[in-house]
Amino acid sequence: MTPAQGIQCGSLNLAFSFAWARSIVEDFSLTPVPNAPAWLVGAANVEGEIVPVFDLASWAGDGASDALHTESGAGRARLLVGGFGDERAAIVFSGSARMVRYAPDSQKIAAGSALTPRLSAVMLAASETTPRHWVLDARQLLDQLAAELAT
Amino acid sequence: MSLTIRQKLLLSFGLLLALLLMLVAVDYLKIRDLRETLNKTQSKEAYLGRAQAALWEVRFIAPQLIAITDPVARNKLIASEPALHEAIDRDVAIYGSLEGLSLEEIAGHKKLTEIVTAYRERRRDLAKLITEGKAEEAAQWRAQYTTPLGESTVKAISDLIALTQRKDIERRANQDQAAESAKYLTLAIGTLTLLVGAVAATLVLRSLTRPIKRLLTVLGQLTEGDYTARVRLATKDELGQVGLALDQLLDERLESVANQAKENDRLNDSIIGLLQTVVQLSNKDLTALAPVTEDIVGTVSSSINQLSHETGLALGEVQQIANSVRQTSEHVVVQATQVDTTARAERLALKEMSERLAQTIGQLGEVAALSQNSSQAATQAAAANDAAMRTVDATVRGMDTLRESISEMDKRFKRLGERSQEISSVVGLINTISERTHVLAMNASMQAATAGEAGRGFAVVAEEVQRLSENARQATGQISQLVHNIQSETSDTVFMMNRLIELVVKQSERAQDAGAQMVQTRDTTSALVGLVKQIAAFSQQQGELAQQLRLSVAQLNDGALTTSEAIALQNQSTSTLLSFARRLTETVGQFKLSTSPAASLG
Repeated sequence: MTPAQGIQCGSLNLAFSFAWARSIVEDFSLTPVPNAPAWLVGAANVEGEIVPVFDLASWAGDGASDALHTESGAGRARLLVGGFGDERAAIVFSGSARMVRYAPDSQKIAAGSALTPRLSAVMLAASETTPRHWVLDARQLLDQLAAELAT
Repeated sequence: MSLTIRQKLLLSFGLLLALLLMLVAVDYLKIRDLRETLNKTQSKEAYLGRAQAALWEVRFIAPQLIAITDPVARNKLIASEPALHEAIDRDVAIYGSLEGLSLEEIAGHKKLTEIVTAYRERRRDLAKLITEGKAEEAAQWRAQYTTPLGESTVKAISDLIALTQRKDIERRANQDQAAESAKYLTLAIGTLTLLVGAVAATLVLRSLTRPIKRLLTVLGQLTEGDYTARVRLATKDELGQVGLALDQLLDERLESVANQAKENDRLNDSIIGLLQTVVQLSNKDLTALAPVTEDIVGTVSSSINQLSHETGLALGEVQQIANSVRQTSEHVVVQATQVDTTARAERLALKEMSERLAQTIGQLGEVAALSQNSSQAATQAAAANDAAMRTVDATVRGMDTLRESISEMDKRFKRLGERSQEISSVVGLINTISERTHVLAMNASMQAATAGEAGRGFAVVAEEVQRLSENARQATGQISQLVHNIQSETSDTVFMMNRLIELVVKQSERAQDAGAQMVQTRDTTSALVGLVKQIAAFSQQQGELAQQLRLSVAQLNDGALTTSEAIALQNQSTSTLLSFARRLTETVGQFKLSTSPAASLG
């Protein structure tokens, strides 16, 4: 069983491998990016580096996450920062993060699930823990986001 | 002598190259001699052969002149002869100028030159006679001079060619003999080259294979785990330097591995100490302190100590508040018991008053029938009325006391609600700490995953911290639920108190009304004493008044019954509140707290 970092984006329970996830940031200031799509909610200064912040709930077609409009409490917004150097990126999520575990052969479960086409394209596995988290391939996800930004 | 591999190879190949150059030089010289001999023999025969051909062509001109009658053709034929003579002279002269001619060939050449010169002069005179048309003289000249000289010239050339061919055969024989001797020399030099090359290759190969075998042996020992193996080559060439570098690398590597093992042991000790502390904290012993070391675990230990310290402080406050709630609830129970006792006494008093009113009504009924005993009956009625008034006064005072007690209880319940709010704020602080600890543990887990194998122990600690923060969050959730229940029960109790106060006020007003009616009854009874004769006339009126009084007492009795039921409900709520307060105390009491948390941190 492989551990992963589980987060909640809107109504989606997603997870990323520890090979990509680096830290959780609670206090941050978000700067909007002009003419950017709705799922690129802005850029944040994390430990002296500017990282783009993505809303995967909006990108996946699950509706915009309301975490950014919650100032405090359990539902307030946090950032999951991952990657190194120029490939660093952040995912906005709400609530508490949790550690989940998944088996490498759980891709069949993920492939048969009723997910949006965008999420299914970057799906890697499904967690064994409850509630079920969908483990995403971070590199493939960021390549997809970059390709959509370039068009 | 210590040589490097490069020097050894250069020396060996240089020696072989010198021997090969020597072999090539010998063969080249021999081949050059053979080529020169061949060129010389072929050239001499060629020059003489060409001169012989030109001579035959000159001699063939005379028969042609006899056969050809056309003057133009004859002149052309005669004009071509000098060129042929020049060719003969040139080839003969070239032959004589060649190197390496033997004495016999020089003598043959000299003789040929003389005959050719004489033949050319006789042929010029013959051509002159033919040109002048002196045929007979020309024939005589030809028979006498040119024909014998031509034959001599042909013979001289043929003899010289035969001599040259014989000499060339001798030269080739000599050259073959020299080539045979050169072949043996070439074979000797080649054999020597092979021997020298084999010896040099063997020496170089041995100087290379021995250190390499030693290196392979040491590498095999290292592969099998023998890290004490060393190369220690005696040579100072490149392989010797490689062996020395490998030995130094192994020494440094062993020292580094030993230092790494010590560092790992220290880190493992720190992690074990931290795990023991986490186990104590998991067993709700918040007095446990993790040893703070200088490594990375020390930071986590300090954070856990700070967390347990803050949690201990918060739980201490919760414990104090829970004790206050429990004491207040117990006090409320005592007061509720007093209220219940007072209400029971009130009901007894009302019952007694009701009985006396019934008795009064009966006596008033007898007034009409027993008018003759009216004075005595009036006296008894006045006495009963006084007693009823005292009872009503006692009831009014009891109501006032009850209202004051209930008001005090209401204030205490409101304070209880305020303290519950303080508990909620403290629980919120604990929940915030738990959430931050949870995030800290998640970040620690990700950093441990980034560290790979070295961070595995640290990942276990981070997971335990995460589980501890989750337990703390669940505990705060339970406490919040208990506080919420307390606040709800308190709110219901306050509501019941307010309702009870309203009932008591209403009952007090009714008792005061009863008292006022008692005063009126007393005045009426007093008037009965003086108006005995008017008793019959006013007996109906007194009966109605007594009936009204009885109804008022009945209403008062009903109010007292309602009050008793409200007090019973209040007692039930108070018991529930006391039960929750004790459960809260027990829940918080499961944590082992230090008597002086601030002092325990040092």
